[in-house]
This record gives sequence, structure tokens and C-alpha cells, in this order.
Amino acid sequence: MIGGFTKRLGRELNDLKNNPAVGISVFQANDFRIWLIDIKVMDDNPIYAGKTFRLQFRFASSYPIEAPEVQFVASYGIEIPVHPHIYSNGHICLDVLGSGWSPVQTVASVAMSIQSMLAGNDRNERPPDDARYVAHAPISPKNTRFVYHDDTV
Amino acid sequence: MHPSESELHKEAGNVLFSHQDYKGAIDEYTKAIIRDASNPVYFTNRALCRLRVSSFEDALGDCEKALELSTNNMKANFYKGQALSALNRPNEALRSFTKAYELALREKSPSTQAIAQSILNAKKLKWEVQEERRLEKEAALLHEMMDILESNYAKRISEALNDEYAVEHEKLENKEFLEYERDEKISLLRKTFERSDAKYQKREVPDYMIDPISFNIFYDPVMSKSGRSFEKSVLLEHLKNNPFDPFTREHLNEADLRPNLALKAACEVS
Repeated sequence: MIGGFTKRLGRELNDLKNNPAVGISVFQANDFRIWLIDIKVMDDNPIYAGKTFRLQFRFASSYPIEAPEVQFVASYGIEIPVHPHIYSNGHICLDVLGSGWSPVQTVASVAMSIQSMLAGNDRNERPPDDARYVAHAPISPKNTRFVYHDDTV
Repeated sequence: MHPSESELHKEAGNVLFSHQDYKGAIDEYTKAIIRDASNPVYFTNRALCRLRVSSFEDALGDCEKALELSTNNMKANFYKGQALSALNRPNEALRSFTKAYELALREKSPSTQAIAQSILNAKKLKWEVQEERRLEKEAALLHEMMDILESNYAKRISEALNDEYAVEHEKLENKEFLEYERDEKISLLRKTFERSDAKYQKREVPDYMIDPISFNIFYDPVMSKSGRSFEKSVLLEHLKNNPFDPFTREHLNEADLRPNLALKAACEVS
């Protein structure tokens, strides 16, 4: 790995474990390639109350110069949250994961952005093009060129 | 023009190197050098192979030859630093890495960031070596002082036992008290040394000394127009494809950057 950015992921992992933000916890991080981070929506938004969701982060060796690949994953008892910007395959349409990425963002800051994106949502629905997108979606959400059309949700 | 015989050996060496056959590659580069000892590339290539097979002394020799042939050879300085680090000579390693860093920056080499990382590692090694020496010195001092205390008290105890004016039970009481006093002093001495150690062992690096992208201690910090500091080689890597300030998203390019010398100095002493 050029320049040894593993140091950075090591420190991020320590921070996530030792000073976690409210509602954000590490479910699994056995290497510096894939982490699973659990998030809960802390205010009593009825759409997500009492539920835990799981984010998967994949890091390329160029992280943090390049954005991590982030999506929701389903597991036993864990579903993909319903949200107008979250597709049913777990892909998320959020600018910080694409063109809005900056290398000073962290796993924690991304998880918090997604947490607040859920907290502020009051529409219990999938994106309008969900069926079409999921049928043709690339495996990696980073290969999708999302259009960040709507900042209000 | 036909490539010379030495070039053919170098090409063969490069192929073996890419297949991780370092011993085979070393033989080919050696053949190239026998035919033409004036090309520094043959030496730096062989040095890299020798680093891979942990022949650090030989690697160092190759780097020095390459530097005789071309003083401003970035790779020769970089590999020399690696060999010196492995040979536990961090001060010299640091000098080679620093030179390599300047050259790499000038050449816009993709190795710049790796070199900056090596500088930090060499500094850490240097600090560890110093720390080890200090601990050894202190341990020797501690033992010497303990010996002095013990021989001093041994003398006083034997005087107390031979005191003509004291009765037998007084002699024993005096001896016991002196032994108690001796043990107290030795334990206080030990505690004092331990306390001074703890001060050295806890080295918490403040956040302002940490690059916000690589999370490493700064070596060569530069400031953007927004007043934020970044490690130069890391920020240049980011600016290659994204010409904006990572914090403010304002347009930013290399010419806008200014060295942050005060921060660099602060990071050097820590």
C-alpha cells in the first residue's frame, strides 16, 4: 500500500471502539478491507424506531484519497432501511459517498451523515426507480453515477 | 542501435525481479555491473534486490556506489535510508531519507509519500534507540546508587554491632533499625527512578500535530488558503485528481500551498 494508509484505518478503528458516537458501533472489523458498522437512529422517528441497520464499508488501498464503498447490508433480523434515497439492494444515493467525498471525512463521519439522513426522513418509501435500478445495478454502488437531485430528503 | 550486453543483463534482472526471484536478479545486475560499472541504475536495482533478501550491508554498499556516480540519485538515497534503518543506524538513515524526500518532491516522484512515511519511522526508531540507551544508563546509575547505599549501611551495621558502650539487645535493635532505614531508602530510590520513567513513557501527540488525511505526525506540513495544514506529499496525492481544499472544497492547487514552518518545528522536537 502506498504511503501506508493502514495507520489511518488503525486509528479510525481505535476511535470507533474507544470513543464511539451515539448509535454507532463496530459489528465486525477483522481487516482493513471490509468493516461492518451498525447504526441506530437515535430520535424516535417512527420509521426506524428500535431498529438496527448494518453498513458495509469497503476500502481500496487508495482510501482515504478515494471514497470508501458504502452500502447497507441485510442480515438475520437486520433489514435495509426504507428511505427515498436507499435502494432495496442497500445502495445509498448520498453525495459524500461519491463526488462529495473529501479525504478528511472518516468512517465515523460517514456513518453519522447516514444516521442523520435517516433521522430527518419522514417518507416511508423507496426511490421511485427502485425496481429498475436494482435490476440493472452494478455490484459496487461506486460504479453508479447517482444524480443528487433532491437535498430536502 | 543494439542494446549493449550490460543492458541485456539489466533487462533479464528486471524480469527476474518482477517474478520475485531476487537472488537471480542480483546475479544478472552483477553481470551488468561487470560489463559497465558506470551506470548507477545497475547499482540501485541490485540494492533493491539486496534489501528484499535482507542483505543490508551489501545494499548499503550498492547505494554508496550509485551515489558516487550520481549524487542526486533519489532511489539511491531512499534505499540507503532503508538499509541504514535495518542496520539500526537511524541518524544516518534520517539524513538519507531527508535527501531522498527533497529529490522526490522536486521530481514529483510517486515515492514521495512512502519516503515521508520512512522519515517518520526512522524518527521513531531514533527515539526508541535513544530511549533504550537512556534506560540502560539510568538502570546502571540506579544499581550503582543501590550498591553505595548498601555498602554504607553494611559499614554502619558492623560499627553498631561492635559498639563497646552498648549492651547486647541494644546492638541488635540498632542493627534492625539500620536495616529498616536502608530498605526504606532503597525503595524510595527505586520509586523515584520509576516516576521519572513514567514521564518519558507517556507521549501523547496533540491533534494539531496530526495530518487530517493520513493521521500521521506532520513531517512537512503545508497550509492551504483556508489556514488548514496538511502533510505535503499526502495533500499533493489528493490534489492530483481533486483540486479542492478537503475542508472547504474551495479550489486549491499546489501553487497556493505555503509551508507551515512553525508547525514543522513543533513536530520535530516532539
